[in-house]
Amino acid sequence: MSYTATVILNVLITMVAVISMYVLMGLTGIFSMGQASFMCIGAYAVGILATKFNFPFLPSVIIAISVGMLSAFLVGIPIMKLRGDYVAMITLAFGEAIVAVLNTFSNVTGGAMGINRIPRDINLPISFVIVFLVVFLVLNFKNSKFGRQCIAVKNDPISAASMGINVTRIKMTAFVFSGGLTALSGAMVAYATSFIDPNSFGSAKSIEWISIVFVGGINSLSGSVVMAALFSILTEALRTASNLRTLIQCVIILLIINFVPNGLFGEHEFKDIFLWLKKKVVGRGRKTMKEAEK
Amino acid sequence: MSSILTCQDVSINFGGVKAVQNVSLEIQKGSVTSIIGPNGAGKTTFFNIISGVYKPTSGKVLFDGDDITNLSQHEVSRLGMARTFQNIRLFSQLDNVRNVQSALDARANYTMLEAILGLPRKRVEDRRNFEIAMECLDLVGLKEFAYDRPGSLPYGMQRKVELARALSSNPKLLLLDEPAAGLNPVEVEDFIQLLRRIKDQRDLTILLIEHRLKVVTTLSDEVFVLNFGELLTHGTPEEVQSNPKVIEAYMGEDEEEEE
Amino acid sequence: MTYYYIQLIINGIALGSVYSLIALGFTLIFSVLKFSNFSHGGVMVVSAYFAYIVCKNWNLGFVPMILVTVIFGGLLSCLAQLIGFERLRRTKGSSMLFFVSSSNLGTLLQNIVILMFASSYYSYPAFFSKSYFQITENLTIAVTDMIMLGLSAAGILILMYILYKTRMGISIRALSMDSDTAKLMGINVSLVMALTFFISGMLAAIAGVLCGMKFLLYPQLKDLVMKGMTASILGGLGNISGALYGGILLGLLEVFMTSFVGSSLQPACTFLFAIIFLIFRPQGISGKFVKEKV
Repeated sequence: MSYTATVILNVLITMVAVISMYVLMGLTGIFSMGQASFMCIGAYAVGILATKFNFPFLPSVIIAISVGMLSAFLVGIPIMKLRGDYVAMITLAFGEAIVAVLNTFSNVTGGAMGINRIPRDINLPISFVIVFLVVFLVLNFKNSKFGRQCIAVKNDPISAASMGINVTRIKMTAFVFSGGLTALSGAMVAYATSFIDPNSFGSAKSIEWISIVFVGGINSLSGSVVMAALFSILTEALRTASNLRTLIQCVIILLIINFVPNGLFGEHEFKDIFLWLKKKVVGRGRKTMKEAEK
Repeated sequence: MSSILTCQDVSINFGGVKAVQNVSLEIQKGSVTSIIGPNGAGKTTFFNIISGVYKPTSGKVLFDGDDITNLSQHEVSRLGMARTFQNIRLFSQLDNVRNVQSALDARANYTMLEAILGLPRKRVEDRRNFEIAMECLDLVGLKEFAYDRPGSLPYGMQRKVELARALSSNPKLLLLDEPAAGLNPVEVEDFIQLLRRIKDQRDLTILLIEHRLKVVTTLSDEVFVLNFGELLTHGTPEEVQSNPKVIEAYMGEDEEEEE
Repeated sequence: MTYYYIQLIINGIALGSVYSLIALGFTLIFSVLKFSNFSHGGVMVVSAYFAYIVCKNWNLGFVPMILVTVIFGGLLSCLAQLIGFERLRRTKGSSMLFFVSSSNLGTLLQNIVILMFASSYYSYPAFFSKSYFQITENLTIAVTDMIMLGLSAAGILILMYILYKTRMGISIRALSMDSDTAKLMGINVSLVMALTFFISGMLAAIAGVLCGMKFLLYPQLKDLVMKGMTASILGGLGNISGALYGGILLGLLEVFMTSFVGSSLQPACTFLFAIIFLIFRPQGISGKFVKEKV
């Protein structure tokens, strides 16, 4: 693959990961500091299936997603009833536990050496299809009863419960859905880099995704997608100075949090901006667009 | 008439503080009942027990024949009880109509798969619920603000949105926690009319906590008086108002007409 | 054999006392601002490196070095508060904003260290002639462990004194219960907030130096803040004495787990324990839940 193609592929993978974090953090308000461990799980599922059992692309990916969802479900059982801080801690500890397990059972996982020679079965068209599919699914999720209940639970869990919303269950739904999406991004990583090791899925990655979602804007999928692209391009541009890049990124995020606390897109999607522009040009708009003016 | 809500010897302690003690009462189907009492008498705590926020330390709560003592909030809500809050608790990041729709969303039947694929059943059900939510907003006269956020509305209107939200699931019992607090006299009059209209249109039982005597006397069929967590007395508004024990409990307290 | 277990208990308590120290600084901020302050780890790392520079350039002894570092840590923590949280607090930002802000501040501080010192390991000069004490034939205590125990205990006692016996401590505790009322009672919220951060930074500085002595100096010391968070959750979130117990519990747990299953699987077992613990006792050892007001 050419250099440009690799860069674009990385951008697309980050997009899927950030979108999964958007479902969790942006919509439902759950902090998962160990979300990258689901990426790890997805990557290893594909790595093991593809190298040891010669599974083809599609079944491996589907199994990777299922394993991600299953582990999210198991981790979620004890913590979804508790305060956000507990979720942050338990997911983080889960990430460390996964690394420990991968390092220990080295006959299956390759230990600290990781898994090599995973077939590069992914290319740009497939990745674009995946990203479009993910955006389609998540947009539908947001605009369904699930998305609205997620926002309600994030805003006020007690009030949400008094409306008949099963708060624990909605959080769990979002957590499992998101776990599946993160695992999907992990599967993409495995196919794209052909090499995976346990130590590249630390909490720094999860925190970065959380920050990107925030900088993009509350409840705004468009914001998350755009920011994911911008940040991964920044990563690429400063590839040789990755610590400097982290520094710059942190400063940008701190500035945005302090001065634009709603994020760059606020609560808007591309649709709102498009309609707002149309209204400006045509000079009239439907009443529903009142929001976009604010 | 039969009773829709029965409390038997309900008590709750918070680390030694007896917030509610041995309260027993019955609410008749189709009635409007008020709970009054000085500040700190345990009225809101009592509401929180009924609606499942707290579990009582002892006692039993029956709702329309079901024992709801140990059910959680959403289960109680699904059985047909809706409530509003003293300090309005709307969802700030959802527009008004989606706020009202939230109770219906909680009851929608489509599955996750149908939702993320945007299948017809999801769309049909969502559209129907949206229309019901719009009707509820229309009922309280706020249809034109459907797409605004609750935060951009004045206090009085937010109360109405919360009322519409509670009504949208068509509850059997409606709990209103100080619905007229923070309203000016004109708005209070308006609110009383609104509650009357809703009561006539729907098969509803209303239980409200209120400080304003005007609301209590004009609306309620029966009044319960709480003081220091205990039930002091009950009766028609007139009986209660002339009861010396009630007057004593309120001594030193303002009528709070100006609140 | 008995000696072996006594030795484990000694090691566990020594390790646990550092965790308690981290957990205390962490809990102090949690009780006042109700969010998990991940920048605490950043303050720890920077202070630990600061102590190293001080030792190298000024040739200070152990005690003066600790004193200088403690003051530095306090000031750094105040600075972090000014940059990261003061504006959010004034505008009553959501807890998620605090979360993102603090985790980015932590990463920022860590990356400053990485840029200045690279990721390699450093160690403090040897402060003491002996490296361990022989108690009996089979029992030893490392001098670092002794110092850890002693300094942690001193730090904890001083903190308790400040919190429960001084005017300032009363203000801090009032603020932790209800900031609006505290303000009405004439407490200068900004000042008390700054003082709280100062104290928490002092604790972070001691913890940073101790960790540097025990584990060598490297930028990933920042992640030890998670041990503090885990400790404070096991102890009961937001509870000062809970942080103490939680730290000791976690220290013992890690030492015993390492002895039973080996250091590679230890994180996985600790994770399992934490999950099981939270299922049965989500309110932690000290047992008070942070309850929402309805």
